[in-house]
Amino acid sequence: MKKSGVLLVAAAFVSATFLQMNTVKKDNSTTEDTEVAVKIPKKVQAVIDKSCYGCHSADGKSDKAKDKLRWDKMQEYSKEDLVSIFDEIIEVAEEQEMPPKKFLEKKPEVKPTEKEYAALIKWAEKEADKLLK
Amino acid sequence: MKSLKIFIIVIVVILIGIQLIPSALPKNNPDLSKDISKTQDVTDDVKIILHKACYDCHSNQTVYPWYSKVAPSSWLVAKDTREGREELNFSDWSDLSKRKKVKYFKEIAELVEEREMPMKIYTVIHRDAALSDEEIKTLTDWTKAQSNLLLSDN
Repeated sequence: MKKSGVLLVAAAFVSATFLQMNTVKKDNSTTEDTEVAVKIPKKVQAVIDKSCYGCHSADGKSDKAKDKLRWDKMQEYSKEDLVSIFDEIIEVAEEQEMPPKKFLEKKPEVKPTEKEYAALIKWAEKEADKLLK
Repeated sequence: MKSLKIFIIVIVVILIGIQLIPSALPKNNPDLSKDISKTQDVTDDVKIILHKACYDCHSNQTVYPWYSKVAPSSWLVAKDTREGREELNFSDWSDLSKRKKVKYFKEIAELVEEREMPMKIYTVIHRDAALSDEEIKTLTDWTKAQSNLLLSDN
């Protein structure tokens, strides 16, 4: 009984190791294109959480918003996608087009302050420059 | 019979009258110094595609057809050309930052692959601007390659 228990644990360990190897391999192949991981400082993350994440993440209700950008998938985008996304973020933040006006009518508290918009723009510019270096 | 005559006269007067409203067709500019062909390696087959399918609205080298001189179609041509140039102007390509260039290459590929560009209203009249699958691939392979070049520069 004990022996079979040990065997079972050993088998589980071996298969887990294989599984892990597979996952690692898969991860390598998906990040290959990106190479540079996107780093989001706390200050910027707070703005994203407050003003963007609700629509631009898995739980968002609008497919259009999710098609454009998924903050929860930032590490999966290709370099080309990321540069385009950063450019778009800069554009909509500069024009203050996001969050949409209609949405802000219902939830005015999620509108970033001028300082928060500026922080988001500065961060996106820096990240895009890193990719284009 | 009399009312038909009046109707025709009214229509003719309106058609003549609207010719006096300026359509404001965007002006062309022969200057090619900032054109995409100066900064990117535009292959001959891509150049042909860009010129026949994109340049009428997305450059300063619009070939204005006869109906662009006659209202009300002139208004539509003026609007599409103005908006097209605002969105992306291949004649001003070298003014763009690297970041914008990468984004435009991606958007060009997406819009052409989804057959959103060239616009249907344009290809109905300009039949040769309706791109074949092969032409779409030529164009999107090129945009991808150009984008990769920009991303791997330096």
